[in-house]
Amino acid sequence: MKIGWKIWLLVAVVIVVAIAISSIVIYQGLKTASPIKEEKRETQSQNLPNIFSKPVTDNIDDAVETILSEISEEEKSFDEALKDADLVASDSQAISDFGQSYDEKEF
Amino acid sequence: MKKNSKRLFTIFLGVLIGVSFLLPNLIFAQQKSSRVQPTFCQRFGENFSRIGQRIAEREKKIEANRQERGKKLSQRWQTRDSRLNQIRNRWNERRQQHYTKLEERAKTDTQKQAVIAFRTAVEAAINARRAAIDGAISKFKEDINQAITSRNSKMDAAKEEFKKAVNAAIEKAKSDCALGVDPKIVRQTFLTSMKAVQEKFKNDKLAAEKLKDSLKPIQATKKAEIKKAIDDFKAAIEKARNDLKAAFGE
Repeated sequence: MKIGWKIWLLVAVVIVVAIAISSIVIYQGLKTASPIKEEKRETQSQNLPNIFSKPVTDNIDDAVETILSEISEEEKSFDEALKDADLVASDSQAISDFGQSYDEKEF
Repeated sequence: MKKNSKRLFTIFLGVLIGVSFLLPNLIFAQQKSSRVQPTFCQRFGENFSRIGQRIAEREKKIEANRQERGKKLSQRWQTRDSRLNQIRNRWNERRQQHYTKLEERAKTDTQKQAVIAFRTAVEAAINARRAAIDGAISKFKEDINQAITSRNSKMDAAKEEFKKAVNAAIEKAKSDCALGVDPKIVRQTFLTSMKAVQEKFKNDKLAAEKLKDSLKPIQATKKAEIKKAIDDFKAAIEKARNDLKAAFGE
């Protein structure tokens, strides 16, 4: 009888320790994961294209090619700016819901 | 004879069963119609406060939406501006490296002068193009802000009118109920008024929606401006290339 009681106590201690260890591991995991997420969001804007794969030469055409390639990045930025117009009516659903504040069925 | 009375009994039984099914419905329908009229005036206060609560809640939701939109726009603008600046800086550095290589290659005075002229022409063309793009983006931001401000003020006015009209309809119904007007008529008047109020708000919203469409021609104009700036830039760079090549005998 006495041995059985001791075994149960041992099992309980093992469970408590296992829970404590797993909690610490999960907590540490979350702690390290969140800054990465934040960092990712912040660096997203700094994620620049790596288009300069060719070495710089004294060739005139190479120089002109580099100069002209900047256009596509600027055009991209401008096209994205034009898409901001979609946000003007982003409150449309909330406004429609406001107009439905009265429900005829209740009367 | 016996057969006939049996048939009559069957028909009677059928009718009886049919009536027993219909009777409760008829009685309840009658009770219901007589109940509707008094409950409209009795339960009016409760329903009125429910409308008021909903209006307040949904107004808050509109405000939250507006703030979210403002936040989103500033974030987008900030991210995009910062990215564009970084890209431009990288291109500046790269261009400098090309100029240096070309300067090293230039042996005669004519070639050296041609590299200087190339550099000057390219920098002027880049500055003009960047200024055109920055100007177009900046102006479009203003147009968006203006469209949002205009939409907000139009919708605020529509909301206020809606609230006033709802209150007026409720007050009229309350007063009619107090004066002892037939509840059926009070209810019908109220429903008609509210329908008109909702319809008016719907139309006001549609008018405000058109403000978004007003940005479409602006977008088209801006696109044309940018296309022209880029075409001018390409032409200037092409000329600079040809001049430089001529100096180097290519």
